[in-house]
Amino acid sequence: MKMRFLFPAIAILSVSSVFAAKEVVILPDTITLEGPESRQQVIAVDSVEGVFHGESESAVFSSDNPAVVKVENGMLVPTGDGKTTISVKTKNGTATREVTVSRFRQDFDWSFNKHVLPILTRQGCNMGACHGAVAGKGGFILSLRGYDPPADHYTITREARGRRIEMADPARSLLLTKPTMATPHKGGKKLDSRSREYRILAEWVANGAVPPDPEESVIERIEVFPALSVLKKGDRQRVLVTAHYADGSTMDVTRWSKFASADEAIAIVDEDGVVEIIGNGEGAVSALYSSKVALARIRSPFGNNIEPEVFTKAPRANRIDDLVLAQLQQLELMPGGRCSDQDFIRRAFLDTIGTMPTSDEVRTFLADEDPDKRTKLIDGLLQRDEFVDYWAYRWADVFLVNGQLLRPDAVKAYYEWIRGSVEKNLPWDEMARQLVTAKGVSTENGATNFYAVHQDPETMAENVSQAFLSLSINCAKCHDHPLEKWTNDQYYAFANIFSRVRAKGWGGDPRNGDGIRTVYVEPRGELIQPRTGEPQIPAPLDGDPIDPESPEDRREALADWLTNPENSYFSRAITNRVWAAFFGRGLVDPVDDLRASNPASNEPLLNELSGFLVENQFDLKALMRLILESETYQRSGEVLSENREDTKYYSRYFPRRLMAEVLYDGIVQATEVPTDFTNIVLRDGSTTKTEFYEPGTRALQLYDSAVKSYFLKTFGRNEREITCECERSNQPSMTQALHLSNGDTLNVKLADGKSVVSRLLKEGMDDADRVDEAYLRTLARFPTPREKEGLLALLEGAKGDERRAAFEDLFWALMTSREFLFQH
Amino acid sequence: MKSIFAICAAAIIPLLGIAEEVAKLDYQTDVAPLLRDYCAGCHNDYDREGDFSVETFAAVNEGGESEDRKILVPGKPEQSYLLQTILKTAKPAMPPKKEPQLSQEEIDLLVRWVKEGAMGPGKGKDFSILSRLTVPDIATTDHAAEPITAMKISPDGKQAALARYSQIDIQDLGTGKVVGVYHVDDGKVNAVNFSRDGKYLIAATGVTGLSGVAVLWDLKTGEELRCFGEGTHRDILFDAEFSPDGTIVATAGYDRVIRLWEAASGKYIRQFPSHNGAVFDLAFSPDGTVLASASADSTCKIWGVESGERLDTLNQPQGEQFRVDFTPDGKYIVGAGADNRIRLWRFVSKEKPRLNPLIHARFGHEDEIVEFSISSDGKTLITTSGDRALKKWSLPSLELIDVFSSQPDVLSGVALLEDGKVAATRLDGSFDLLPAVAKVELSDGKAGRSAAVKPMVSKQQKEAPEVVEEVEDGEAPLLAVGSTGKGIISRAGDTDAFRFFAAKGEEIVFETNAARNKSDLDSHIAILDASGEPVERVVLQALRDSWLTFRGKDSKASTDFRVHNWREMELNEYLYLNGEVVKLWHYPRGPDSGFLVYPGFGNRHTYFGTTSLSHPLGQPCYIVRELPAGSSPSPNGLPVYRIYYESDDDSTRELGKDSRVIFQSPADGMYQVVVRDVRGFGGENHHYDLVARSPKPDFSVSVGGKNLEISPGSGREISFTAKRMDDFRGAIRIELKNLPKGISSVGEVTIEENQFRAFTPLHLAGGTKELDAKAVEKIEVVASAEINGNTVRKSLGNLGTIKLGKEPQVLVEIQPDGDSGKIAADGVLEFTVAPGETITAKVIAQRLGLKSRIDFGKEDSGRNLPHGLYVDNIGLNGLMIPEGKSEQLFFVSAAKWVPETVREFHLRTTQDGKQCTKPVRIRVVSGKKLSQVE
Repeated sequence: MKMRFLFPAIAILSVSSVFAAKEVVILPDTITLEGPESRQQVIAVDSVEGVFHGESESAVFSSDNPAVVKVENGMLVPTGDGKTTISVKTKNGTATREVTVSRFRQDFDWSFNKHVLPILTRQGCNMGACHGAVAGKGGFILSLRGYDPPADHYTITREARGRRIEMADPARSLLLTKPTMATPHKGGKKLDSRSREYRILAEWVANGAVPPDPEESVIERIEVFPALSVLKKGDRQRVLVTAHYADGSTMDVTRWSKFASADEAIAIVDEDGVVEIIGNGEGAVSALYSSKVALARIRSPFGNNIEPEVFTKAPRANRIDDLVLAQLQQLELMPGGRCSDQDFIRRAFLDTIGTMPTSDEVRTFLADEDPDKRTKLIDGLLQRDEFVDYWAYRWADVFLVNGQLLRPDAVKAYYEWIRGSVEKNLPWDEMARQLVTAKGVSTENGATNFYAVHQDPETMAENVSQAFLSLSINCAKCHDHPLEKWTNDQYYAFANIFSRVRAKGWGGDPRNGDGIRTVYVEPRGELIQPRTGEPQIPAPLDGDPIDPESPEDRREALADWLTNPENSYFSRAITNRVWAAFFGRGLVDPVDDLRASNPASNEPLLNELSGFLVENQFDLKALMRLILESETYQRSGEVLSENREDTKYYSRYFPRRLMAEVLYDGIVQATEVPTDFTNIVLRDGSTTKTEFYEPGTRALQLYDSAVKSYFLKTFGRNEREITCECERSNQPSMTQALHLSNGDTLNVKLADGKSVVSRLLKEGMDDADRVDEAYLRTLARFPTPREKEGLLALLEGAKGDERRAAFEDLFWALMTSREFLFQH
Repeated sequence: MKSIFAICAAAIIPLLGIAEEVAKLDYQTDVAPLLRDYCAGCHNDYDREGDFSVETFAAVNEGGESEDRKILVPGKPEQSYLLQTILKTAKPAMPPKKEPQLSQEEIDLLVRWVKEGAMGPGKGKDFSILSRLTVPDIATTDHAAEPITAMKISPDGKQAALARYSQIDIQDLGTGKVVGVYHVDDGKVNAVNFSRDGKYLIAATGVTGLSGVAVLWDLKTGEELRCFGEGTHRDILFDAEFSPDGTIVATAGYDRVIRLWEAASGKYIRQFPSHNGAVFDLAFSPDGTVLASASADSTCKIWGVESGERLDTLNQPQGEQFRVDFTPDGKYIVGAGADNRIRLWRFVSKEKPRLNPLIHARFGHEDEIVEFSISSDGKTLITTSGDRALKKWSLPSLELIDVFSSQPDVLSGVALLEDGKVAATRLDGSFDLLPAVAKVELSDGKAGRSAAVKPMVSKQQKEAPEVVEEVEDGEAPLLAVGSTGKGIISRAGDTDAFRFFAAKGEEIVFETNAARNKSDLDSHIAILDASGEPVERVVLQALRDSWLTFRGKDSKASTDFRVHNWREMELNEYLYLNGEVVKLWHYPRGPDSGFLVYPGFGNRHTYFGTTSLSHPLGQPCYIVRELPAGSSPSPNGLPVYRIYYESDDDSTRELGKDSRVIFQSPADGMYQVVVRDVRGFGGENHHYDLVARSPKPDFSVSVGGKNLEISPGSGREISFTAKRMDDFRGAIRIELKNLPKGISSVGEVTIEENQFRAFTPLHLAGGTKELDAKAVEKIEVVASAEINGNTVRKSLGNLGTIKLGKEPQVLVEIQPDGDSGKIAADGVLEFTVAPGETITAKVIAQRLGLKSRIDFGKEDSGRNLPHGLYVDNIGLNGLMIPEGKSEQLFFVSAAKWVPETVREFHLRTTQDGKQCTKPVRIRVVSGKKLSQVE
């Protein structure tokens, strides 16, 4: 309860622990022990004005009434029913906490689900490398991390004539003799026969190896303590995990939880949940227990001493700036200044329409004295045709418009549906609805091709989830997700939504046939969950179940859930995609990996922006405008000593290489020599002609990732094989460098008789103008006086035939420079 | 003895205490436990990583693969390689990084032991450190039920041996009293068996994870006679079997090894190369010459007892095999296990290695089959599974006879008694005699189609109005047989309904005319009963599960249905794919091909009114059986599909996207036929006609290959393709009349029942110089068939022109392979084949200029073979005579269900204008003894 009001406090305050007084708090904040075998680990943490700053030094716990509870090495052990208080003495003070013990004298049985399986999971018995492997080990096969308790119970107690337990002499059970190495065990010694774990397993067998009780209260959520700490490099902090059950009971499951750090550059965590801070920033440690995930967030400020008024005086255009500045202040990072007009026009063009500004556009903008000229520029960009090309291309990446998966007419229809949607500025929720519920003929309703690329219910579900929720649920197809909350049952409930989708016509052979498919929905039909042999009642991931008897298209219910304003997965996913397109890095990174254990670098900001998108009925242009207008976006790329280490909190603009298609179009625009796109590369490597693309078609106007282009392939275009931004690479490579310097793209275009070089040399202008033009059309700026002076001197030395070579070299030099290749 | 604490204490106390005064460390009590805990998992006699074992002191001293290193140098730990690895001064550091590490105290203890001289155990005490299990004492509580792990009935049927932990009780079945108790050392008893003469008892037991042993008792004296396998089997035994004559004992268990012993002396005979997984069960053939084993490696294997040779690996199962047995007559082997299936193989590998053909693979249970038993008369099989189900089956047909109510726990033993009762033991420790007949009612629809309503021709025809208009928002108009309904699906999601009356058994055809009439409607029609519920047409129960391999399918092709596990599928079985039902027509030619489905060419047909769909790679599909509407078959772990009277696209593909249903009314009453757009679309151009009519079974035949050019001395093929209307299935006879002189044919060709095509070659006499065009014109082709008791004849006209072809480049002929065929009285070469048999024949080519390879096609190479007969063993290239050769042996196989029939077939080249052989005759005769066949 207490944590609730602490949260906002943390968001607002920037705490400097040096000046405020420390107090000590015992965690967790409520302690109730039920039954003789319950245990609770406790820790003492230092708190300054409600913010936790790590474990108190030299904490010594004691119990006020050892007849109710005793403390052994920070572990509370019940000794009798009643209430008492435990106390802690530390270097920084003392604290107390009330403890309630109940049902101490009640009969107690170990539970298969609550005790036995967690031990097997914690000892690693059912992990993928051991008995959790599909083929098991030594004939003993458990479900991965215990997702299928009834099956595991059968395997342990019934399979092979009950080989693994010995009711008459429990200690002879293979379940115990193997991990203690009393019998040879290839997996090594996993259990000490004097341990509590051994005793639990042995007593469970001795008590009849009772099966999982279907009536047993189910786990609802887990909670971590402390949920947020402000720590510094070198600090260590233990994280406690409490499970909450449907009947209101709780259990300390720290011992059985699996921990992982969301950012190992900031914090690492060991298997006992002890976190060590090794870097700076906003980190998080996820705890996983029984398919429930909770995050313990960790803030480790960068330690720059920045005056508070830097933040109060920093310019703010909108809510983005408020939230970014708040975080920069907490993390002690210096916000950079505003970028120049020339940087802004190039940046805004490239990020908004994927196109470089022309020299005229740059000249006009730089000369414009209107204080609102940046806003005007933004408004103009959002209305341009290139905007439609660029964003249609980006969404075609997400929806896998790929000639290696579809036939040409279908590719065209699919692309045209996407482009038409962008052109109409169809709200994102409406686009999602049209795609998810698509039916009809593939060449008439292009959206149906989603169901040609994904033809079975499982891949339909996986790709809807990946495209619109940025959640990968694929792991849950075979077992509960080992690192996330998605269970095998949830997966099949979700996939069963698509079980009635049917198609007639083309079968999916990308090399043959007309590609024409009619997609429709049967009023009946179920997908069988292989584990149970029964259909799972259909339900969107964590939405309400859909009436399985209803003949209605289940996808309608899915679309309702998906696009519901309450569904933050949906709004966060698209918000993060848009943000990443403008900043080169998502608030959540990777951009389409929004699992719970991978939090945003600035959670309040992502929540605020996804809320903004909902308020604006999923009008993506509204979000883009908000981003473009923010001071955060317009920040300079200059590196300051107080923000040098920042890679994800937006204290400065982070430069990045241009995406393949944008770079290619930029080269064509600057050189004025386009390339024709005439071939499609099929899966087997063979090529086939295409007549879709008129001469002069830009790379961003291609429908399809299968269009043959050595340049685009080399520069890492998204191959659209799977729904993943990871298919696109912005990583520079040696091949790229060599291709630009010596390859046949740039050099051939410059040498072309119709290139800009030829034109400039013919036109009546002097070399100074020519140099200006070359700079403006490639770098969107005028040359500095020094640059210009040097270049003019060089050009003067070039006579006759050499002049052309000199101008080609000038362009070559500009276009192989990082300033050209990068967004900055 | 059971206290690990005592040992640990012994190991620790000297360290804490007064080192000078204590005795030297003892190998077995101080050192061995550390080696066992930290090393023996990977370094034991069985699993010697680095060729090193710590199981005995002797083994330790042998060292490992680093032979140049001294494993132990007494007094010098720093020079002892064993210690160097533990002290991490030599590589590899041990135990490996990720494994639990020795504590400093434990390391110190080992160092001290070496310093003291690295002394081993005393003489005769160097036993394996893994041979004994030392565990804490943990008492079982009252809650725990001690399981019965195995049970057998004595050969006289009067007693049951019940195995519990370390003990076997002999219980009198009459009185229920325990008449004998046999003990083994601490260990689970996984199997117990009587010798056939009832004099001896043997138990398979051991220490789980450590050792296996079989114990033999004299039942008369109660004396333990001897043990088998001690010191050789490395894990507990799962079975110990007497040979039928009682002279041999076979043992096997979790250590994967099968061993044979002399029963009388205990002398070891041999072991078999065995399995890649635990061996769960053994069985001797009734004559004792062959042993079968069932293993976790998903196989059953067959071994020659005398030779030690492996005679076959029955590798079709897809999960661990828990049980295997021979039928008492020695004809069959039955196996079952984790893939929920029961398999029956014909036992033929009796003396030498042979393939034992799989006869049945039945989906038996919804969970793994853990135990089964065959009745002594060999007619009944009883099976039980992990989900506590118990079922009875007939042998060898494997038809389900009875399903028992769900058992209170997993069964460990089951036996069919003489009086029909079933003895059952369970893992909850219970033992019951269940009554012979189960109480569970089966609604299996076994009556088959006879339960269906008798078809009846409609009597409504006469007074019906010609056209009925559908009305918006009004009551559904009445549509009589003989009328046409008209309407428009004007809005998305709209449905139109027409009412009609149908008497019980009355058959009415409903078909739409929409897409064919330029309507945008993709029509779908469904029949609803008076309460608006869809009318069930058939129930399909899956018998076999599979999935599409290699690639997805479009909604047209009838070829290349590649499905997993196709060898267990049979022609004419229905294959259910996500709502579509097709029927298998021709086997795949091999691993790189697929089934052809009906009709065997062109667009595929679907069944039960289902619609042809596109299917992705990996799509689950099932072989299904057809049950009458309303059936509730007993569950077998696979899905049951209910198919209703409805149609999207016509099953025979004649109407394109339009729909057709042949409705057979299950009862007198009013029904509705509902029209909609299958996609849910609508609009002004979504108009349709809906015809209601009586079925008119009929046929037409089209002739392919007219206007022939025949080379003298050779033959050319003509084909006959039938169109079957309104489910007409009967045979269609085709006669070629008035063939001119010089042209010969077989006279009559038949399109078989349910089939769609027939072929025949026309032969021209060698040396023919010209053909009389007038005579050719007079040829008449006549088709006839029996429809509803009447003979219907149709003239198909003549064959167009027949011209003299060029001199052939090749002449081909079918000849017998040795005595595989003979010339019949009428001069035609005749072959005889039995169902399930393969015969050989030769094709001979007379090369008259053609030098290249001569191809005869692939799955279609045997022209006009009876359905179910096919040219077998052809590779990817099909049947061919290689370049430079002039003859080729080929095989014709008959599926095992093919009925007796006589028919001519021929071969046809694909080169030189498709020259044909003369037809030869093939006669399918059943009743040949299968043993001869094999």
